[in-house]
Amino acid sequence: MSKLDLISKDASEKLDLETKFTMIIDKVKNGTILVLEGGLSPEEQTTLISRVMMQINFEEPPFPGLELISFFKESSNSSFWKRSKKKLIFTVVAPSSAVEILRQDSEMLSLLLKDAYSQA
Amino acid sequence: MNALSILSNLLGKKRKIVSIGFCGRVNAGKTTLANRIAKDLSGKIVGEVSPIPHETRETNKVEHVKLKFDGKTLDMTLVDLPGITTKIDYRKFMEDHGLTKEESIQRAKEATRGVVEAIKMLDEIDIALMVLDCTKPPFDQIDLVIVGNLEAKQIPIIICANKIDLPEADPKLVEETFNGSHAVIPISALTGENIDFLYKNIVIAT
Repeated sequence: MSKLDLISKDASEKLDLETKFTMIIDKVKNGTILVLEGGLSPEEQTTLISRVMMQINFEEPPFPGLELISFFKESSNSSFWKRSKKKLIFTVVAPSSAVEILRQDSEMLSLLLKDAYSQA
Repeated sequence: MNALSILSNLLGKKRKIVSIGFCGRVNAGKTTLANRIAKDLSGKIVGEVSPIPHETRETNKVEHVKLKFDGKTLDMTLVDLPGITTKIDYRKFMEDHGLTKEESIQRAKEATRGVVEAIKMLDEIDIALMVLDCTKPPFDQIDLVIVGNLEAKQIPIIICANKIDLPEADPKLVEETFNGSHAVIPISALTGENIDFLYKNIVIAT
């Protein structure tokens, strides 16, 4: 069974970056799927990826990393990429292999929740 | 610095070395493309390629690769970055590629360091060749994150829709995805198809 935490934009913005990254990694290590309202910027995501890489664990139970999926506000422009320059609505952060994207477009993000590789 | 070089700098005529970064997901063909360009222009090789993910686990460079195009000569440093990913599971190397547990853990440890290094190196490049495997949909989160970072740093991006030699390649989808935002070059790093068009766009980007 998977646990899902929705974090409001207000709650997320109150956290400094260090606290935010620590909170995200701790929750994901415990098997929680997070939905962050307002999302993580590309710069925040690369910083998070660097932190995650430094915490990847090869002992039992292993921590192989996480999944990052962002959802953007619909735009009238037909280009997917131009849409990403519009408003970032939310970012999903999940344990590695715990989610699979079934559909991702301007109208819907559909995810299949799966049993992740055994983690904490 | 002598008077001539000071004057040359002031006039903007000092020949700059341009760092060309090969960025993207794991196994997109970054090293194959870097090797193609390096061998084509300088006879050198940047790094080894392999079907096993994370073959490039540290940044490899070839310096003073000279690109002559349309009467211009560009002095380039080719910077082949490790693939960026959000997860590295050593068990996949065992299950999918038959490596031993020790080999898999060692490869995964080196790969995690490579990802951190690749992210740091995004600050060091002048032009990014964003290499996409166009046999796969170009909506991967990692692609979006890398391109978003490069845009934030105002680094010129050339999207290389790689692997057009494969029957399942769909470079048109890549072009539609990045339509008007960045130059998109359908290319085969393996066969060299369209490499001259890429050279032209590198010169334009400088």
